[in-house]
Amino acid sequence: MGYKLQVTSDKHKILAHLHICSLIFLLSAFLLFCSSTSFAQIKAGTGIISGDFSFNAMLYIQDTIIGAQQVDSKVRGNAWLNLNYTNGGFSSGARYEFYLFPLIDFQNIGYRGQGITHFFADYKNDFIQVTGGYYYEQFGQGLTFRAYEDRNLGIDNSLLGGRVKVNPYKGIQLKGIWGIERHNFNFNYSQRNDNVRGLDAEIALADFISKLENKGITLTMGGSFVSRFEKAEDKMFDIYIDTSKYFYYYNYHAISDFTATDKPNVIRCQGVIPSENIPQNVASWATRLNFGVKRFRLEGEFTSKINDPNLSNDYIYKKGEALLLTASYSMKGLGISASFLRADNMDFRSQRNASPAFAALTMNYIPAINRQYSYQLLGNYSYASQPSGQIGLQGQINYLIPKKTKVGGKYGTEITLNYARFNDIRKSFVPLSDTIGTITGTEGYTSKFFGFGKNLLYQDIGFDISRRFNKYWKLMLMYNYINYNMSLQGKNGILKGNHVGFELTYKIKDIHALRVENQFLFIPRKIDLEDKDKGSWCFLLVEYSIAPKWFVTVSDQWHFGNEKQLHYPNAAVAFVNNTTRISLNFGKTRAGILCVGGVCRTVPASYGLGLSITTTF
Amino acid sequence: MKRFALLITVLLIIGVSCDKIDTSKEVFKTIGPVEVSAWNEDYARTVVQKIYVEEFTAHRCTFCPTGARELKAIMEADPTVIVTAIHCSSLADPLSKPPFNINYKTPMGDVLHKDFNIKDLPKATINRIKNENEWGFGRTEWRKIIENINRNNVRAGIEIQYSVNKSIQEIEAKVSVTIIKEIKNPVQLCIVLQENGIISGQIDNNVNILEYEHNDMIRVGFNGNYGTKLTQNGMVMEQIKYTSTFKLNYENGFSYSNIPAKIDNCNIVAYLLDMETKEVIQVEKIDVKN
Repeated sequence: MGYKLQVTSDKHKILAHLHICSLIFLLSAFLLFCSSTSFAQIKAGTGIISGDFSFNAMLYIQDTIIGAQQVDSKVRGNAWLNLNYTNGGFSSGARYEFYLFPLIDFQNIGYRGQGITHFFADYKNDFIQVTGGYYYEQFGQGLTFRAYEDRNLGIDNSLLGGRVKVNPYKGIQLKGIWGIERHNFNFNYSQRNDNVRGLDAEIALADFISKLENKGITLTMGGSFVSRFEKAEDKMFDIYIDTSKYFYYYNYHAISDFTATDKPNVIRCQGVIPSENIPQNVASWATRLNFGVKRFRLEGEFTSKINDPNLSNDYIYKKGEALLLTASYSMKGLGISASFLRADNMDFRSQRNASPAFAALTMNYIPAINRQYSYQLLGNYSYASQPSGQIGLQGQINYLIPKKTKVGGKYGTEITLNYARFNDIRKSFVPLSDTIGTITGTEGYTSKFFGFGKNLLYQDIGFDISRRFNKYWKLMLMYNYINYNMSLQGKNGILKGNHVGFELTYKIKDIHALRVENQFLFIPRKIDLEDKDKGSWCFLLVEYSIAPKWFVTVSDQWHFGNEKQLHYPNAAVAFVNNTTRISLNFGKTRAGILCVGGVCRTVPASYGLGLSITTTF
Repeated sequence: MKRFALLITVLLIIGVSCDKIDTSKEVFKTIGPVEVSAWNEDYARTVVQKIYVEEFTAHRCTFCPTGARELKAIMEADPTVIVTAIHCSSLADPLSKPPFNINYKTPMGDVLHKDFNIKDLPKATINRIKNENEWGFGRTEWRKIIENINRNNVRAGIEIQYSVNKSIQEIEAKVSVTIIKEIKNPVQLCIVLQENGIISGQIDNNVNILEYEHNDMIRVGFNGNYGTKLTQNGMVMEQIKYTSTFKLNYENGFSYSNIPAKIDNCNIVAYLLDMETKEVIQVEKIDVKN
């Protein structure tokens, strides 16, 4: 079990001790790193020891122009070491994490501490798999349950408990889980009043019906059930009654204790949802189907959740629902895919008071189905999935103009077209919510399943063309038009932008290459946005690589359309040796968001020198 | 058979893992805000420590009347003892025919019966002091436990005022809690309505008594199984008086038994709970006389 360092009144002594510990840890880690680069996996008797190590540090420099704040400890770093032992069907492992002085964006989300944060023992054979300790798991596409980690986002939703997987017959898999969800570095599990349990079953029909297999049909069906227990407490909230409109209610409840508000005729009184009306056991279930015939695939999952009043939905009692459908067709040179997603009140966490502003304690995963870009400028306006309410679709066509044709050229030309759109869901609030001036303690609202709400959250229409001209030159051109509702980042207004760019690669010699990326994001200056989002951007990157060991990059993001004309220059050098990568960078990072698969966290502006070391063995 | 057992297990897990709340009725209550004022030192000097006894009983529990008589004797000898009778367990389940056809169990009583791990009847909690693995004490221990409670550590005083509006069948309780000594843990104030003089069947030492008089029977809680906080985080301050008002409509009876309370036979009990130790810090009772 992990542990936290206790802070005593002798603060200076403790801090000095911590710094010494930090140095010892980093030195040990570095020595381990040096030794690990000389071999791949370590043999231990009949078993194998494997693992990975990562160290990311930064020296922070204050820069008031870009808003990079002075930080109390200027040198900060994240480090972890995973060690796993495998011997036949048995495996075990542990992770040490050192985030005591973490990179400032991790500190901002509360991911701070150190200790052995992960350990497990696992045994599996063809029939059964049993895991004890911390583990990750996903049911179906994750709409009901997904325990996972993403180190870049500072998410680790592993469960501490037990898991059993059984394969009673070929093509059938049953899973059972029980555990307590990790919450950053809060490892005092004896104080926790919540736990998660779940069941999942999946059957692959093609394994039973040989006719299906012979016809190239795959058909998999599954179902899952997840329940969260959390001890209930009374929920106090404010009720606002317009007595000119709802005097009958005021009169019926004989409300005598109230306070006036700044609105005429509106009184405020206190309401309480007694603990017996707060569901302690909240269940969610899902069914899923994956169907494939030859080149066509259809995947779908539907989930529903019973009443789950919590902080993210303002303590309403409406059930939650989500539907994810994906269809795709592929043949040589052509791929077509289309997806549909609707999520309503599906923020499902192991504690009802967990803040929706952070990903911690999330039990399920509602993905973003839009195309994920690696372009720098669009990355700052990535769509963040909205489990509480979103409806949208995405379509994409990939076409390869055949090679050795007039249009396709010698190597062929790849074209990608895509369109994505997400709106909020249409809601009709229940009459009681109007009476009491809040949706808390009510059913909240009703919503037509396929009804698009009035508010556009995100829209992206774009294409890119990629073509290799000869052995030396390769060019990619891209264009996107995006609408981005800034409420996704807690701001006002809708950003409308045109994004154009190119990526050119020139192979100088066999292992020497030069790559240039240039992108523009045109945003009107006269638009109802915060000043730092107004105006157009330019991004230029030049990378020289000597494959596979050396990469040298210089880049700049220039907010040329804004009055402040800010620059965010960066220079980086990276060295790769087998499974080890060392990189050093110096420069500025703009404030924004970082998203992976629709899950996002904010990134503060920063300026400084960074060092990153990663290795696996 | 194995498959059947597996199916039953799965259905059982699913069944107990969902708490569906009926929202056809309002799930919340309106309460007045807590009024905070300075204490009255003169009042504080007069406060005595009272003892709260929750008697877990049932109409088909043969030795429960013996327990009730023991508690009655204790109360007569010591007026600072306040008793609430909670009908619970399968022995309180109604039968199809009189005299045991009425359900006196309550949702609140069921929760307390479970939470305090009461295994057999009659048992009683005394100020909710923990008794090893459970909270219930057997009837031979009650007098001794009550006598051993330190009466000199008075940390809070409770005052109850009430009004009854018979036209809308509503009772309003205004409860003030004065914090006399520091209380280090969060607290909650719980208010219950209980009824005297309920004439109904009871087994008494293996004899069916058709018209047994049940007293101090819990009917309903005003503000949840464990009451409500007086402050946002539950922490209260010494020498401060907290006052709040709670309303209860008794028109339609209460869950399980839909027999409306005879309000003139009722009394209101208010007690202050230490939410860390679960113990009762102070208790007060007032008879409803209309």
